[in-house]
Amino acid sequence: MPKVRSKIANVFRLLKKYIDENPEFQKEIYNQKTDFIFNARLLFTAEEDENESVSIIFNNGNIEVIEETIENPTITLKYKKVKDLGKLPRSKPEEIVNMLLKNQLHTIGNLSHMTKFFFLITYVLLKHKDAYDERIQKIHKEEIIPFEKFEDFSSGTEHMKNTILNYKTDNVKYLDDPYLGKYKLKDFERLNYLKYIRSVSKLEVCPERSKLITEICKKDGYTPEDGNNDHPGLKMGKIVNYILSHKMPMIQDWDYLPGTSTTKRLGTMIYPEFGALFFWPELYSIDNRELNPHLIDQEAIDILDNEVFPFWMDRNVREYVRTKNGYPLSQKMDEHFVFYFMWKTQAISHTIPGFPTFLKMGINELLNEAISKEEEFSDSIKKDFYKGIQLALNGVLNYTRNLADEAVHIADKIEEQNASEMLKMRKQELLHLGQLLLRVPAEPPKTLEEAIISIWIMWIALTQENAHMGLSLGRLDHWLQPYLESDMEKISSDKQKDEYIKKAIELMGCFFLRVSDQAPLVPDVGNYLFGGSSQDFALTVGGVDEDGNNAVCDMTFIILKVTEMLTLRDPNLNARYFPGVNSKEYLDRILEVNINTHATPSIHNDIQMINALTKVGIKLQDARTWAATGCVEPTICGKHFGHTNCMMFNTIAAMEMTLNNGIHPVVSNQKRFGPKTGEVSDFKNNNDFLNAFKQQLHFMIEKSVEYNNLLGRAHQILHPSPLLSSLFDGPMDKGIDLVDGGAIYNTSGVAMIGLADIIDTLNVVKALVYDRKEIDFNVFNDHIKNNFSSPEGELLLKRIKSIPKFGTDGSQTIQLGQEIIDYVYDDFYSFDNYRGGKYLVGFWSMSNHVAFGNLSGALPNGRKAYKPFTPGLTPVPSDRDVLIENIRAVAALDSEKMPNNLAFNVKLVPDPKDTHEETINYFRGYTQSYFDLGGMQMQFNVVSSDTLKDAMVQPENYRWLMVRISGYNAYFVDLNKELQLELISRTEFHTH
Amino acid sequence: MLDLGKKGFITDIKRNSLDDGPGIRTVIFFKGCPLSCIWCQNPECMQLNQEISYSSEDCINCNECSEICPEDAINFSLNYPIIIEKCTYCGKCIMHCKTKALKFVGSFYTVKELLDTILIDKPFFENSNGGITLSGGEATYQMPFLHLFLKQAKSNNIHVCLETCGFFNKEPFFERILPFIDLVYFDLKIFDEKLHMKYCGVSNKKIFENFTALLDSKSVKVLPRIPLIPKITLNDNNLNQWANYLEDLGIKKIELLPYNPLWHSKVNSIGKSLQFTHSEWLDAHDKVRINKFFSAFEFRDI
Repeated sequence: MPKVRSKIANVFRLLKKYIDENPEFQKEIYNQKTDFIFNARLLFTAEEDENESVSIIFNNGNIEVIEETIENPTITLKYKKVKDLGKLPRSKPEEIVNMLLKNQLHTIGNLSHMTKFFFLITYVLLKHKDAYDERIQKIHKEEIIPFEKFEDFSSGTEHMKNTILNYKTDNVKYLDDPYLGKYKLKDFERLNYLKYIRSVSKLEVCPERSKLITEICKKDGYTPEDGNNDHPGLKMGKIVNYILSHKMPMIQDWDYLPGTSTTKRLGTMIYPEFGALFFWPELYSIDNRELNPHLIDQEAIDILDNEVFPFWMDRNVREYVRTKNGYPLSQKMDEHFVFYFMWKTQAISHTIPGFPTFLKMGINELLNEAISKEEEFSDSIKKDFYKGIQLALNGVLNYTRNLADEAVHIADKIEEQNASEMLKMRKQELLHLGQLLLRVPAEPPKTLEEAIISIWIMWIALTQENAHMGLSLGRLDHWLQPYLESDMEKISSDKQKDEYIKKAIELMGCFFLRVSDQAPLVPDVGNYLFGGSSQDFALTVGGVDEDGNNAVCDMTFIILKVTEMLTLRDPNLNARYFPGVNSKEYLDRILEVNINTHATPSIHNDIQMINALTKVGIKLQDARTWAATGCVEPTICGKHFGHTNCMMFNTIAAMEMTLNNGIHPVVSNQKRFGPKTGEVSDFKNNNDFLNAFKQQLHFMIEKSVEYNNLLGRAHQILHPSPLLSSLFDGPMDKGIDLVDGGAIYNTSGVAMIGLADIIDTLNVVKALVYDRKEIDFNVFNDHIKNNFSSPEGELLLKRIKSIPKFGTDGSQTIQLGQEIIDYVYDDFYSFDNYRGGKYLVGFWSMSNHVAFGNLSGALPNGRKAYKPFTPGLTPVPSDRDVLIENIRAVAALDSEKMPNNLAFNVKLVPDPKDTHEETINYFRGYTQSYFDLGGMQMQFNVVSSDTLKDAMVQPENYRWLMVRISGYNAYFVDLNKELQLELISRTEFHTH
Repeated sequence: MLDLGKKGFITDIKRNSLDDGPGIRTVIFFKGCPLSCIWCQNPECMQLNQEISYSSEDCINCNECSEICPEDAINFSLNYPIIIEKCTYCGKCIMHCKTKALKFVGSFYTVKELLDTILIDKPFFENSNGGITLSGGEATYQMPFLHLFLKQAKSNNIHVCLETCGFFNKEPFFERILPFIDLVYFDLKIFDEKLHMKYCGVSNKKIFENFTALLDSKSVKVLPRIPLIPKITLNDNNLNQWANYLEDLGIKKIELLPYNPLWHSKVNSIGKSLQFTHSEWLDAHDKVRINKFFSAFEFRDI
């Protein structure tokens, strides 16, 4: 007699009772005001015993509870164990998500129906609102010190040591000390104050954008199925225009840059057309969760719960693909979380706009071009495309005009007679900004100030158009230098020159603080998958220009100074270094900034990167203009729509299926996903084993490509980017949106995760099972399944330990690694994406080496079940000092086969007894040698494990402690515990 | 018998060393030393003859080594399982060891082999102003090989630092070794001759002679180093004598090497017994005292 189902049914009946009795709750499933009706059929069942099934049907405001399975559920929640199903009534949303990740539960069907249902549980049954109300009562707004009374907030920068360079280097024209060594944060009152404001600002949910997009889409429809038959570009043009025209124009107190991303001091934007609905069950608890809490007010909750989320339940990209494509296996695999993670369900934006074109033309000229192109083409589709661009660009102009009015409006409120000197100055500043905004970005900027403000306003607009993850800033040093030079030409005295340089640093600092005025909305599951990540707006400096000349200039060093003084996780600074063209002094300064900030910038060898790019068909001149996107991935700015993080691919999943004949044991012991490649006892030799692994890889590659392409096609129909398209070479000429292949280069970028563990696994199996025949593969596999937990398993671990690993021996593991890299490179390259471009592989991992590790069993290389893999391409830790061997091994891999770059993390702690000069000397020794040996990318965490451990115990003392995960920066105290422990467990090398 | 003219007997090669000279360095530990300091922190480098090391931590007690040993020289009831009197160093046990718990201490290198081993680190030397450091044991104890090796190293523009106990034959050293050396770290241990005999096994007369000769020659940078061994070198009398002596010679810069008790475990792994059992690190009190004696000199914080 099934017991669990009746227990759950009783709970569901209680839910029904509460909803039926209370009009407030009734509104949740049948809302006449918003026309929302929650019609859904949810089936809860257990794999272990299908009799334990229970269903709940929502139908036009009525609820029916049935103690058995039903036909045509809109979503099925299948628990592996009856026991886990039994926990359902008591489960908090984050526990459900945890079960989903661990594959103790999996879903079939529309995920929005699940998130809505769990919201009902938290709201109606668990009374989360009551606890929330109580907390809200207690919040008292922190008193903010006014600028006039503010003294100093440069704490956290005292440890920094600065070198003075008394001569100009590279293409520096004006900085007598390019290192700007004399400046400290406290020399910049405004930056100091704005950083203080940032530090007292709590992250807050901003519903503005999601409300606006929902308003316009409710009116006009969003999908063709809604009856909106506009050309997708035209539709998006209207949407962007509407959002920007109605967006609240705001200027933060004392900020020099007008405009804000959100209406909050530090806000999270919401993109309901992508993944935001996952966050529904957390509306009343996000302010109180352990990791990454966000403030949220009742108004925002109501907007999201009543207006926004209901509209997007079937219209978000994921559900659109499900409905349109008959729920393919490739999508099901994604929803098991262990095979790959597809970013297109959340965003498509990993690219870099062509800001130089925009700065050169201004919006008016871009508009004129779109108008004349519209006239030129007779094809109505193309005409609509150009109309969409015009609407989007006009939206930017509308927003700018509103900002100009706002500047004057605030200035008017300052009464000249009674105002302090500072306020009088502020009034002048605001009036000046009001004037300036009447010119730019409509017209091309003429000064550095105008150029930075133009870019900032366009940046705001772009993040309103499409999800902001990984959208990147490009080569701002190179692009802004001409404006600095032209300003400088007008200055004659040394004093004015000095003041101007200070002003330039301040402007850039304001830009950094503004760019980071927002954070992504991360549902709690994301805190485990992408802990501590920001939007990863990468900014790139240095390297060479398109003709191969040195591009390191005054602005390069100004940006480095700002990075150092502010130590913000965003923008994510990437430094290009072209050995032989860029100076040693420049490299030394990059390293000094890295040492001072602990974590940034990440450093790239231009020679290798440019070479790798030309090998995938990018013209040499274009390849030289690359910049990092998101984490480390290269994009040819303004020419290349490369969605460089379209997926995070778990290579370990292919290994697990190789060891289990196509079954992934974490997902299911019965259901076979991969091809039957044989039991391990069937492999006659190492080649059989290797080939089986490659077959499993190929299967996963094929599926991941299929799903990415389906998602891409959904974006083409639902969500092109007219505004972004207007800033690229290609779309404007061809009349084709970026998402339809309008750019010059159209690749997709993949992140391959777990490679170091794979290399070691292959090497251990080869040595123990086949070369030395010391152990039978079946027996070995049993130890793996038992997580080496028996005494024999422990002894086996010792034998595994003595086998050479990647990064500690010479050529053998490097050869193996190269073989796998070549294989995945070739296999991915054999597929075309939905825009007609190629798939390019890279080897970095964001934080997915921890997330995927957490979902993966033990491995033959001795890694225990559920432990993290190593980040990026970093070798597995060793108990002796193998830094040089590690460097040599990673550098030996062929960078031509890693066109989407790699992440090589080195935790290196300076000896406090060394002089600053000695420390930099060592860091240079490693970096330059790695590059000389052919290495492509390297990043240092300059912080000791002891410090990190202390930060776990006393987080309040380490608010701004920045660390590099794999490619991106994060504040250590924001990270989930597993990620914190993983950082601590990384090999710590010392310069002593 | 080994021909040490053609091959060098090297205990270990340690890359990425930052404590043994400027920049990033690769340290070559030569096996064998004319001194026998009872506190020697590299006991595996003392003997010029072959040794086998054993790690109980890595051993999985499979006993295959003792079964395969033709001399019946392995007995796991002993702390150190090799019976040295019986062992012929045939290496069979080592070949059969699955976890590398048994290893030869050191191996033989031809000049070319040693050169190839260090040249792969050349970029690191060049980019950090580093190089190689000859340590041990005592590198000059294998002078014929050292000479041949250094000739090659120098022709490859490698910066060479020699760490020496100072107990070498002056003439061949000045003629065949010194011309290839860029920097000498010269260890000065016990000032008193009798005590030097007692703790280091030899008189220090030759060491003094070599030290002053080296300074007089002015052909190379010399950095005197004093190991701070509790009770033995770290006593007021000895420190005072060294400070006065070095000051008289006009020396400005020295290096002090604090005692590190972590070497004890190494002794067991090669089947030797500890002669010096002090297991404490230097304390703050020691440091104050030491700083006082050497206040006239420039030296790195200890």
